[in-house]
Amino acid sequence: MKLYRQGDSGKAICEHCKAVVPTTFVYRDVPFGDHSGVVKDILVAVCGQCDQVVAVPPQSTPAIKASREVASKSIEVILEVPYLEALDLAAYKIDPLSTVEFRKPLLVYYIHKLAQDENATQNFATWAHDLIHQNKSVMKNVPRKRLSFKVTPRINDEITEILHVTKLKKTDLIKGLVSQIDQDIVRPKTPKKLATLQTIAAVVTC
Amino acid sequence: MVPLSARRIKAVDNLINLNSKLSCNYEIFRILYSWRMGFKQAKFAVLMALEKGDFLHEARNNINEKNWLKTGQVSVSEVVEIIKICNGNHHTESPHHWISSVTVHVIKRDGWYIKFYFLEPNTYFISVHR
Repeated sequence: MKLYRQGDSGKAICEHCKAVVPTTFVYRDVPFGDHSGVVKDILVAVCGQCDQVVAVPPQSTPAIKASREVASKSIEVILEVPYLEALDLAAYKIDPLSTVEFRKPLLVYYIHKLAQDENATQNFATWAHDLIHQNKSVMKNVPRKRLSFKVTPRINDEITEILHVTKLKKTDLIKGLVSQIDQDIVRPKTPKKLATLQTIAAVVTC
Repeated sequence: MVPLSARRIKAVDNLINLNSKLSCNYEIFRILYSWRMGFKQAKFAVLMALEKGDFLHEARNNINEKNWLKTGQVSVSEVVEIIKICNGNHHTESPHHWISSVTVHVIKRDGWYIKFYFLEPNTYFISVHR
């Protein structure tokens, strides 16, 4: 394998400068594209014009892999669009300035609350199962979209535990959680948990 | 890419064959292939780059989650195996968004999506995922 060293030079295409630019290899902290974490002190090539990171050599992959495994586990589900609309409406009601990035903290809040109470988990399972069954005919010809986000291993463990207790599928768990969010936040005029969730929104979107 | 005359293509192919018989010099291969880059040439050049560990990953000021080779979710040898079983039917190419003189190669096979380009003297991977 070709090993690069700090100070080596090369060329690359820079997205920012939209040109082929000269590059220099340096050590940098580089964030993941999905904001799930930062890889510290990896060798990268930076643009000679704008100083942005434009290339990563394969020798930095082990460090990226290690950081990634600590930072994230992937949750991916396909949902009927009304579920996503309800989730986004709830996010909007909590904080009109929030973006789709608030979907994840909102769901994680509900996952964490549910995981802490086994009785609530059991009740939720029955309620969610019935509700999803009722909605099935309504949602039959509705378009579907992918919802994906990364969670920490701790939240992933909580999801696994909830799935084990409730015997729900992951998609049904998320549908159930969104239905709960719909009932708690979207439908009431003055939601009970609004103040807490507004604080969370302020923290995560700061 | 600039279209080449049949005569020049043949001449470059002869040079490639000659180089293959003589010394298998990697750098000369790469220069020759950059002159006449069809799928076979792109496949050969990208496999050479992977096997030599002489490649880079394009970055846009962050770690792109769609490049599993960069994040270590797939190994070099796995990517080599996927590319090896591809033929021209699994390959498309288009000019790079910002630098139209750079040809971006896309390989799609068994759900895999591999996107790369050559910017001499380097091979850059943009995406490797399924």
